[in-house]
Amino acid sequence: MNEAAPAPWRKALRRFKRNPPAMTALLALMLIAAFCLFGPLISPHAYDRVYPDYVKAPASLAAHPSEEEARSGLETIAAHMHAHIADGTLQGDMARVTLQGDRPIDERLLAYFERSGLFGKPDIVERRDDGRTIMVDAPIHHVTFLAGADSNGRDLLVRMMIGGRVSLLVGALASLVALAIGIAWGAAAGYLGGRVDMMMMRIVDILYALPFIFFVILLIVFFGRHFVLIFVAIGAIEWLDMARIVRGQTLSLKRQEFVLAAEALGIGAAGVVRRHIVPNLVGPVLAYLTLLAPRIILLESFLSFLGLGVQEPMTSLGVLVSEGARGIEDSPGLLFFPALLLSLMLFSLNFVGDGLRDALDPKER
Amino acid sequence: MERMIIRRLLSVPPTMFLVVTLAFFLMRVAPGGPFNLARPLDPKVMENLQRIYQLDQPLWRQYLSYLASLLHGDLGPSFYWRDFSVSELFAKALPISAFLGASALALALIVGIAAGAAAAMRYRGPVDHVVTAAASIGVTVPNFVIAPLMQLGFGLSLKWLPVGGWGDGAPRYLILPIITLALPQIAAVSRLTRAAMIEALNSNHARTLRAYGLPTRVILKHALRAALIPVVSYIGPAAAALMTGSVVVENIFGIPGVGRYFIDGALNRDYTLVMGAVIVVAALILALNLLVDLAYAFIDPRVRHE
Repeated sequence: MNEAAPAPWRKALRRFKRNPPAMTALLALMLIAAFCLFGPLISPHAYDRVYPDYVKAPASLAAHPSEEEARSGLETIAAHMHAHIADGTLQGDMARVTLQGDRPIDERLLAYFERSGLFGKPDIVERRDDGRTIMVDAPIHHVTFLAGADSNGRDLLVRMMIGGRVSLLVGALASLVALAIGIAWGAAAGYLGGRVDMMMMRIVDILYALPFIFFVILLIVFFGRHFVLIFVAIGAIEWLDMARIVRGQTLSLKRQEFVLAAEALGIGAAGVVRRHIVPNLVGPVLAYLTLLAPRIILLESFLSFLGLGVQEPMTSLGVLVSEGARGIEDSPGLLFFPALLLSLMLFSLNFVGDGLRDALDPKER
Repeated sequence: MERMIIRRLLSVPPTMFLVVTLAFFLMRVAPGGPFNLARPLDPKVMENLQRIYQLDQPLWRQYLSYLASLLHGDLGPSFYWRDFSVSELFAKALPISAFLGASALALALIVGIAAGAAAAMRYRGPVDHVVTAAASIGVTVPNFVIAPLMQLGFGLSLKWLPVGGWGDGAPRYLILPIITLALPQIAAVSRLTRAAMIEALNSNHARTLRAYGLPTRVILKHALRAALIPVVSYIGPAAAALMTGSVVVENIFGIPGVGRYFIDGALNRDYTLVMGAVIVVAALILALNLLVDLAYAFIDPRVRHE
């Protein structure tokens, strides 16, 4: 299909473009994807960097440490150094502190400055009283947590981006697994027809009645929380609908003239399915795929919520939501932001899927 | 009609057999066992335990003896809850889960059908827009997000209802779990009803009724009957979704139902308990699907006369 896009596709595209909710959702989806994919590259935080001083810091635009936080941090450091603060001034990015001890201060203990995460490497400006008093300059490390910090003191915003990546990736990969199995099974059943079709669809019916989610949970509990296992398992249970849709389409395609023509020319069953049936399935399959992706993302979040998803320090939106739900009393933001991102993601995928279905299959309207 | 029922009934035993076999071997090929504790047991004790629970026998023999006892309705002893049999545990847990699920399903059907029908009657009016928007949100927002929000709103802030627990089934404890469980299904049912009702109201038979000048009430009755067909066929998937949802809801609200036993059992390698949970859930889903098919025939004369 190298020549100009065939008319049905162009028509479908036009129909999609005339659907404001679907176009808005598509834009939102692209923004979310860009946010998740490129966000971590721009973010000043690493997703697994722990700031022990900022556990459950609320979301805010203001930089940490605040004056108060810096002072209490200094006091903690001074206590570690067996000294007290005689004088401390905070000026912009610098803190000038005078430490006083009963005995000479061990200067190796200045390492506590860096260890706290609030300050950088301190410079000794002045020593007095045989080292019982020292004056140091330490740079203040300013950090912002736009969406707050989690219960381990990690930046929530960058964790949401990483979690979004995982969710999108699982959604895409598991959809592909479901797609591959579903198309192969459905096209074969539909095209071969007769007894084979009956047997194959009977199997689908039986599998349909199984409590599959329970098997997925079993699989993951028993074989460990392996990333590949998660999306293969999800994909392997979500192909049933795909197989049904593909079979239905194949059955109607099979009776079309161009398929008869191909058969008359002596092309074998495999060839007809590959060259003539599968390409014509693209429309409905694409529409169903965009509706399948949110279901899979939801399933992955569900597993993660139960503690069966990806492992720390890696995260996914489901993990973040479940962590947020645990500490909802004192820091509702930890639930709110990941839940919002997850809902927006699912929401826009659903709308894009609905729009695609309407555009590709006007009969459905 | 009878042939359809018989065919459906005949498919139940092989499906159940498949469930039992899959679950049994899936669990047994997995590493770890019920008695692999953090502190290893004395080899002698381990040996005795293995013998008592027949874990020292070859796998195929364990499988056969499990199947045999299953045919007698015996789900075996629990490995983790040492003094209880699986049947005893479920005798307590199943009514709880079933009650939650049935209430949520009933709520979803009543509210969903009413909302969907109301939206369809005022197609593209304000009611329709509100219902459609609410349903889109309800379908997308997962219940493990809704549940903590409910706890925060009605439990912690307003203090109207308890945050969790079972409270021996006191109604106050049931409201939040049931609503949480029902919300996504309400959304799904209302969407289905709305779409089917719009189609039914535009169909030939509704037009004929209108042409005869019959009152709106009568037309609606006929349209609703036609619109219920896809809703009834959705009950099967809805029940399956409710069972999945109940795992989350029972977990969050701390309700001692089958879903909780399933997760705990899987984590503790409680072979018989997990098998029991899978079997019970599969049997419920199969039974419901069968009922749905029957209901279908009653509602839709085309199926009855096939």
